Amino acid sequence: MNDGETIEGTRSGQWTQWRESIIGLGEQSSRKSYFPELQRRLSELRDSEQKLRTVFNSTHDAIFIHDYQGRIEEVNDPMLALYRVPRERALDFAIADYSAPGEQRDRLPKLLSQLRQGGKDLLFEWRARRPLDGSEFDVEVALHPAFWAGHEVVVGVVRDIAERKNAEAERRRLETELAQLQRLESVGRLAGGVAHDFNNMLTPILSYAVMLRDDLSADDERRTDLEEIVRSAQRASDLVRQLLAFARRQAFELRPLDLNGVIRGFERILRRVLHEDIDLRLDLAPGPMCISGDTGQIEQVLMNLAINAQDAMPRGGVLTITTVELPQPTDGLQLPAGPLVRLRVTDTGEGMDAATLARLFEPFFTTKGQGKGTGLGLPSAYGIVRQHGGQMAVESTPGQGARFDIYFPRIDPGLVAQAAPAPNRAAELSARTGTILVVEDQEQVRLLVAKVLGRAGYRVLLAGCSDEAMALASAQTAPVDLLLSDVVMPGLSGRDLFERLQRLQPNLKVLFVSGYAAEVVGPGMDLLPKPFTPDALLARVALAIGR
Amino acid sequence: MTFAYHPFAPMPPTHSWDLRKFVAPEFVFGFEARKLVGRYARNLGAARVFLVTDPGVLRAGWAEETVEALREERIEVTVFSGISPNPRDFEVMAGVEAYRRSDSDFIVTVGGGSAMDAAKGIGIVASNGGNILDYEGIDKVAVPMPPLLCIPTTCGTSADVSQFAIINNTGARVKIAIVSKALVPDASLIDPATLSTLSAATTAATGMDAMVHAIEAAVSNAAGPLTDVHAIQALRLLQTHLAAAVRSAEDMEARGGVMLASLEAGLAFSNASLGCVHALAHSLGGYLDLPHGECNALLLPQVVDFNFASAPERYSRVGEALGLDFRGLTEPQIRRRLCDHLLALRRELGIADGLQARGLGEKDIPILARKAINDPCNATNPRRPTVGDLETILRETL
Repeated sequence: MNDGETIEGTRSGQWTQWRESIIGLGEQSSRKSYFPELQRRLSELRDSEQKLRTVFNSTHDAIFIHDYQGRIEEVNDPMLALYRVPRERALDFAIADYSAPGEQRDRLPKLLSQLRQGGKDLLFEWRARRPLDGSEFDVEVALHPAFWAGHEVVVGVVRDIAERKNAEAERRRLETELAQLQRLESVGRLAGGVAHDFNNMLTPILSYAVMLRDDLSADDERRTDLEEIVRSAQRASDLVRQLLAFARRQAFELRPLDLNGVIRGFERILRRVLHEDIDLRLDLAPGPMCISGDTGQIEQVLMNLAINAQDAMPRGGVLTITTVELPQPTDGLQLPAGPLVRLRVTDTGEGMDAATLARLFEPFFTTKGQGKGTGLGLPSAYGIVRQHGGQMAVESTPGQGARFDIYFPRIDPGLVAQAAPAPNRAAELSARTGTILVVEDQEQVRLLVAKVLGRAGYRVLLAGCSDEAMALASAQTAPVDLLLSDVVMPGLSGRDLFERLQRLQPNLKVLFVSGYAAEVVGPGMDLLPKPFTPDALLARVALAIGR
Repeated sequence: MTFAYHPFAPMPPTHSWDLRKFVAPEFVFGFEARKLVGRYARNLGAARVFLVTDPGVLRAGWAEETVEALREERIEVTVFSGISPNPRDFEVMAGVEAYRRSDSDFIVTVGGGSAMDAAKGIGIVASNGGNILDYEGIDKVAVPMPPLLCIPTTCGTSADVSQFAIINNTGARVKIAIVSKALVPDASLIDPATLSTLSAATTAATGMDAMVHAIEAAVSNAAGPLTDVHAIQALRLLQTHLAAAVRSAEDMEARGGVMLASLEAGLAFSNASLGCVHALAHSLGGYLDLPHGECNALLLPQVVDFNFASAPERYSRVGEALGLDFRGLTEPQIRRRLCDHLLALRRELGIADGLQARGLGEKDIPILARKAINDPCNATNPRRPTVGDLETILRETL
C-alpha cells in the first residue's frame, strides 16, 4: 500500500500545520488590530473631503445646498463673496431671503415642488438679493435634486450674469445703432443718386430759363412766366441741396472757424425766423470754439434744429444754445481721442418717445403732419454734422423737452486767424477771352455750358468723356486756358483728367462742376455746384482763369 | 511507554510549556443575561440590527423578546429566520442578500448552533464577499465580520464562544468547518433561562454534544493547562446535572449547570480543538442531516475505544470526571469501562440504536470515511486515523 502510505504522509504534514493554526500560532491566526487600517481610511476620507471641498470652493459659481422648504444646509465660499454675507450668518437666511421680492419670489415654492416631482434639473434666470444690504443682481440658477446626508436636498448653482446682461444690452444697443446707420446709409445713397440726376436736369432748366428771360425786353409779359420757372427751379434746387446734405454728398469746403462766432453771427437771423413766444437764449463758452467747418452748413444745422425745437413748442418755450469744450470724447461717442467742442440745443417742448427717437434722422420721417415739414431738416443736419467729422446725439423724454448734442473735433485756435479771406469778387470783371475745354458726360449740360460760354466770348472745346478730352487737348496747337470738367464721369475722373492734362500744360487752370462729391476736390481747386445760373457759371469761370 | 493508572492524578502535562493561546469573547453568564442585548448592541455601535434566528426559537418567543429590547434602544431590526438545522450554504447566501438589502450594520443571533453558525457565515460573506464555501478551512477569513452578538438557546453548540462555524455544503453533502479568529463573537449573553423551552430530546442531544466537546478537547493533542481546566470542569458539571436536566425542563438548577458545562466545554474545544468524533459527525451530518449532538453521541464510544491507547492517562481523567472509579483496573479494563459507560449514558438519555436505524448502510461507509478524513478535526485527534480506521469506527457504529 505504497500509494496509501504516501497519501497518509502528505495528510500527516497538513494535519501538523492545521494543528498549529488551531492552537492559534499560524501566520494568520493571531488577533489583528484594525485600528491602523481604520486610521488609514479616515485619513483617506479626510483627504478626499479636502479635495472635494477645494473643488466646491474653487468654482466661480455660488453653490447652495438646501431642502425643499428653502432652508440652507451648506454654501461654498464664492457664495459668501457673491452675496456679501459672512459664513457664520449665511445659514441664517433662507433661499427666499436670497431672492429679490416680488412675483418671482412668490413662484419659489411652486418651482421647488416642480423640481421634486419632475426629478429633472431646472435652469432659469433669477433676480438675486443680498440679504444684508438689500442690493439686487441678475443670476442664472441651475437646480439639481440630490441626496445629502441621507435626505432629499436641492443643489443650486448660481452664476452671476450681470456682466453678460450688460454685454447683451450693449450688443442690442450697437445692433440697433448699426441697423439705423445702415438704413440711413441706404436711404442716403438713394437720395444722393436722385439728387445728382436732379441737379443735372435742373441745370439746363435754370440756365435756359435765365437766358431766355435775359433775352426778352424788360416790358415783355413772358418775363414773369420765366421768373416763375426760375423760382421753381431754385426751390427744387434747395430741396436737392438738403437731400445732398443728408446724403453727405454736398459740395462744400471745410475751413477753420470759430463756432461761437458763427452762432453769434446767425443769432439775428434765428430771432427773425422764430416766433415771438420762443425765448432764444445763448450760453456760449468764453473764448473761441474752433472747429473745421463750413459756415453756411453750420448755419443750416442751427436753423434746422431751431425750427424743429419751435415745432415741438407750439405754446412757446425756451430754446437754449450752449457751447462748451470737452477734453475727451465720453463713452459711446465714436470720435477720435482729443478735445471736442459740444454744441447743445435744448428745448422745453413736448419731447419724444423712444419710437420717434429711433427714426428721427430718417429722411421724410415727420411728426408734423402733412404739408408742415419736409422731413429733411434733422436728416440733413445729421448728414452735415457727420460730414464735418462730428457726432450728433439726442436725448428726450415725452413731456420733458429734447436735447440735441453735437460734437465737433476741436482744432488749434491759431488756424482760424490764418484762414484765407473770401475770394476776390473783382476777378469776375476780367476779360472773357481764352480757350476752355469743357468735359461733361451729360449732353444737355454740355451743350448748355458751351452755349453760355460761347455767347460770353470764350473759345470752347467740347468733350463727352476723358478720352475725348485728352485727344482734343493733344491736338491743340494753342494752349487750353481752363479745364471745365464734371467730377464723376465714366472712365477717368475729372481730377485724374486734370492731373494728366497738367503734365502736358503745367499752367492749366481748372474749375470742377459737380452734382455732389466735395471730397474729391483738392485744395486750391474750384468747384461749382450744380445747378447753376449762367451768371454764376461765368463768374466762376472768370475767377478760375484769373487765378 | 507503558500506562500506569494513578487515581485522581492531575491531567498529564501536554508539552513542556509549548506556546499556547486562549481565545474567548466577552460573555455574560447567568439568568437574565439575555436582557442586556439592548445595552450591548448600543455600546457596540449598532444602528440597524440583522437578527438571525430559526423558526423554533421564533415560536418559543426568545427572538421577539430580543427584537423588542433592541427597538427600545431605537435600533432598527430585520429578522431573518430562514435557517434549518445543519444550516445550508444557500441559506447563508440568502441571509447575506437579506443583510445587504436591509442595510444592516450589526448581527444579533438568538438560537442554537444552526442560527449562530448561519449568522457567522452571513457575517463572513457580508464583509469578504464571494460564497460561504470559499472560506472552508483554517484562517481563510481576511476581513472581520460585522459586530456579532450571540444569545445561545441550547446547551451544546458553543458557537457563542468558539472560532468555529459548521456549514452544510449541500452540493457535496458534507459539512464544512470554517475556523478563524474572525469567527469569535464580539460578545455573548448566555442565559440558562432560555433552556426552559428546550425539549428533553434536544437537551439530551446538545448536552451530549457538550460532553463530546469536553472529551475531545481533553484528549486533543493541542490541549493545554487552561483548556484542561475547562474541559474537566465541563465533564464534572455534566456528570452532576445532565440526567436531571433531561428529565425536567423545570429544574433550572440542572439546566443552568448544563449551560455552564456547555460554555466551559466551548472554551476548551475552541482553543484545543476536537477529534475524530467531530470529523465523522461532520461527514455524517452533511450526509444524513442528523442532529449534530446525536451523531456525536452515537460515534463517541467507538472513537474513545480507537483513541484510548494514544492517551490513556487523559481518558482516565475524563472517566473520573464522569464519576467512574478505575481503582484496581488494568488499561484494557479502564478502556472497556469508559466505553461501556459512555454507551450506557447515551442510551439512558434516549439516544438509542445505531446508524443503521438512521438509514445508513454498509455501502455508505467508504463515502463517509473519505469525506471525514479531510476534516481539520482529525489534526488534533490523539491518534492519527487512516481512511480504513474511520471506516472501522463507522462500521462499529452501524
